[in-house]
Amino acid sequence: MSGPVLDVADLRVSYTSQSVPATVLSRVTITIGAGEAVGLVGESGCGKSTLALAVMRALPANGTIEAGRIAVAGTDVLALTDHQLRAWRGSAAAMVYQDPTSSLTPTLTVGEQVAEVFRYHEGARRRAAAEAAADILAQVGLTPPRQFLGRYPHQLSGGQRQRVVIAMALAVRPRLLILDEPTTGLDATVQAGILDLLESLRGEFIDALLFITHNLDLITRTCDRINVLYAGRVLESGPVVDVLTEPGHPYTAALLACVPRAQDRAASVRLPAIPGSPPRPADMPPGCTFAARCGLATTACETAEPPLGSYRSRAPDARLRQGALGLAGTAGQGGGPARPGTADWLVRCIRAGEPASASPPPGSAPPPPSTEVLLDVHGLTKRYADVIGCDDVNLVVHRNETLGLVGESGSGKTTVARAIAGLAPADGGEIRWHDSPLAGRVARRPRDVARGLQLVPQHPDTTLNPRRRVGAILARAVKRLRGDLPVPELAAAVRLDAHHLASRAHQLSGGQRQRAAIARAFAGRPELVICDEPVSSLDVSVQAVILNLLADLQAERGTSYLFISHDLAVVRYLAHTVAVIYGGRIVESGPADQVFAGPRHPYTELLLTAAFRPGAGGAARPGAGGAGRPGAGGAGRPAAGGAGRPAATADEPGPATVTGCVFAGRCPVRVGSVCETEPPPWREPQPGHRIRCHHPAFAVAAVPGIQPSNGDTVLVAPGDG
Amino acid sequence: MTAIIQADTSAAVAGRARAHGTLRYLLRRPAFVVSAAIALGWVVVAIAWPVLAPYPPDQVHPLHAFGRPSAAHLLGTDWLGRDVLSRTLAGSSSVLVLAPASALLAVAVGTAIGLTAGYYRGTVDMVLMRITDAVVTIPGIILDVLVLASFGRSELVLVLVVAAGFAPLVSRTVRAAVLAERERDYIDAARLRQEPAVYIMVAELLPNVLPPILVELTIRLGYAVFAVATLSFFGLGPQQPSPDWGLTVSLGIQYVQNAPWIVLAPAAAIGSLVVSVTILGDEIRAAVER
Repeated sequence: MSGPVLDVADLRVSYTSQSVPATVLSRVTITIGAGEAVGLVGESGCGKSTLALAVMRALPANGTIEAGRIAVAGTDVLALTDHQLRAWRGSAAAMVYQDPTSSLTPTLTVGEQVAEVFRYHEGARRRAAAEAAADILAQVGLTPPRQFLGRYPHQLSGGQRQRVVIAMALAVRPRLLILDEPTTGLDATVQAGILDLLESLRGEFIDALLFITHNLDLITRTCDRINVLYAGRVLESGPVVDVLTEPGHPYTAALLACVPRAQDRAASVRLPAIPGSPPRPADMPPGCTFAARCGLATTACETAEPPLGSYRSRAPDARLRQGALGLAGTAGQGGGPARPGTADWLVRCIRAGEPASASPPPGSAPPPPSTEVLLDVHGLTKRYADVIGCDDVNLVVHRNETLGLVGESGSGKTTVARAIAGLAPADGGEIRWHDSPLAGRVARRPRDVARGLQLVPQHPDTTLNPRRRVGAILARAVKRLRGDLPVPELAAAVRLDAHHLASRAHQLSGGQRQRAAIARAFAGRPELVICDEPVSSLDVSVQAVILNLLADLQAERGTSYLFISHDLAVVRYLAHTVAVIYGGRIVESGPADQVFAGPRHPYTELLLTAAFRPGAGGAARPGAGGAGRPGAGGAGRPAAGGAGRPAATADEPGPATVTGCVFAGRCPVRVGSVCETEPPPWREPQPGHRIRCHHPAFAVAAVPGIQPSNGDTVLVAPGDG
Repeated sequence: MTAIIQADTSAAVAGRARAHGTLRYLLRRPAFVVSAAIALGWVVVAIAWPVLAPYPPDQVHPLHAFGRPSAAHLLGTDWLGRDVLSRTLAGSSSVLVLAPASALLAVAVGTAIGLTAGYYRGTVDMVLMRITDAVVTIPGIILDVLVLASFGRSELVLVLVVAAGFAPLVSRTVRAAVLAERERDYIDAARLRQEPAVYIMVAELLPNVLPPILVELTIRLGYAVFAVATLSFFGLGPQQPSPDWGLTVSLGIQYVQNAPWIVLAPAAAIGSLVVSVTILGDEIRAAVER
């Protein structure tokens, strides 16, 4: 271990657009030592990917490295010729991009593509390369590898594709691996599988790791150190545990506060969103880049940019904090080798560590859900050829109520939403609206009924007609939906400024587009608004703004929501009742608090453990010493990773069996063959809380195996733990 | 923020900026500039030929028939002693009215069919597409000759048959673009507002499928020039004494041994217009799809 593997010093990068250069990275210094994993977090547009591309010398044509130094394992990257660069990429440093689909060639088999890496970089013969490819595929959990070598990328799931890309990146053992949002767009359970994989590869295969993400939670699971990037500057850099428990910079603190906490409910609190938006590279303020949005900013902050100074937490005991995060046994403690640089903690702020705003802002409480049934879906069924879209789905939404519909991609959430909206009618079942049947197609529904049921779609980039101005879009909606608010007031209700009305979609940020979409849905007097993953592609700070807005609108107008999401933290914050869908069937439904408190369906359990398990990866980290958290941690993870390296097949949805339980193939607590042969019965462990499972634990309310304790109940599998 | 700056990778830069960039790209392409200059030159001639032509195109001089190119008659004279240069310049006007009219009509009809088929999908789509398939399978020139022979040789019928031959091809392009566009979320929002189908097609979808439609227009224009010239060569277009190029070539072909200039001038004119408009179409398509 001589020097650092990655050494970026005082890097400045600018992009030239219409012959005007704008600095997007400024004085960025990041070092990664051997065996170290460093996280880089920040909101979209803050320069994360630019840094990664600069390190790989793969900036787009209009990007220039203006100053600074980049060295990987002692090699000056900026001095490499194009020819040297080609050999250097892949062998010394490799990068995994966000979208695995575009990283693989659709016309070559996985085996050929992985083997090519060996043939190119190591000059391996065809046969030797094929064998090496099989080995590396096994290492990334694609077992048996023979089964995957001959497949084409489209025959793999998203998680499997990302494993292939990781295998290609690791094939010739690069010193530095850069992961740019490697799990964004993947389901929580698949994401957990990828993170487990990264953990198991650390030490043996992965030396230095740069992990780029907007998701702070992922950083805690994978990294030793964290760098917080904002407007092209590193605002905070330090050990993950310290930074995330006791953030020194107000921006880090604000980012952390945006994520709904377990006890936050839309009925009582709003999320502390960060006001404003990041400065554009073209007009950077002279002082601190965050000053304009900072609650602690003084005049000194606005005049001079503070230096990245060393910082010492005010908290007395670091171990106490680690305990709070559940990170005992991870970096910097126990038998692991002391990693270089773990001690220093840098913050670019003159008021570092001072407490920002106190408690989350209270929200006006919406009227409690009434008992009046607004929407009653019964036996909804839809098939696409021989694939089940949804099967016998029953849902009830009351007035003023938010129903959270939770499931992974492909679970049938969107099928249900589109059937209810009348965009893609179901084949069977009944939808009742105010207790009278609703036509399957939106065009056949009475106009006043249709006006009452609106949609906030998922993709901020296609939700608005790109050719039309926001004002015209809203005006049309108000006219068609018989709204009584004039357009400017409607825009104000969703916190859109007047000048946004003259803009087209491409001039707005993702959050602004989503606000415009919400305004469009609320142009009339909707009784039910279907929100299909409305915040899934937004940064946490923007997500908080949108969630607050939805909560406020519900409080003001008493609108009901059918809120579709894969993000359990978001659902827990917003929903009164929850339905969990898997393989097109509802497997659990009930009041949100009861579903989250348990007992839970094994699938809900899987989703929850995949979503909320801070630092669980520590258990498998090599060289970290200790065996991770004993007891509850192990039992709480019934799915993948039980025995050594997680197999890709275990953590991804398989084909649904039609006769038995849809979840039987992945179920960690399978009772027996009955799960495959007979449809599971509905059990009701608590009034209103229904679970569809064969497991005897659910037969009566309180039984052994379900241990009620401090709100963190776990379903223990028979013969497990 | 980098997303805003990285023009190539983000959707942030669209609309006007994109159209601006396309034009700038095209103006740097020699093939585009040259063919645009030729095509534009013919448009100017078609409008201003009464000023440009040295003689009235139908001024007959039997004594000067079959005159070789000379100072008085730069491109010679034809079998009636009419000035070939003047007739070639004047002949541009019929092609440059008939061909754009056919192309525009074809694109209008094809767009309507494509929008309807793509928006409704299902049975409507199937019926419309089978009909267009049927039209496409009949070789164009045979269809045109049959129709013109049975309905009489009028310029209106000529425009109609050329447009009828091209409209199915346009409709396929438009339909493909609409099928992709109608999956977008803003169409769902419009349907939930119970917008009339015509509104969704014209106000929501059409503006977003305009680029491929404009490309179709330029490409069809090249084919239309060729088709109109071909039909008038067969005598199914403008009739004597029109100076129309195709007609002149077909009438002058019998004198090609002794007075080739009678045929060569309009033939070169047809060639230059067809080639320049076709290259123009290809260049624009390449620029838009870039």
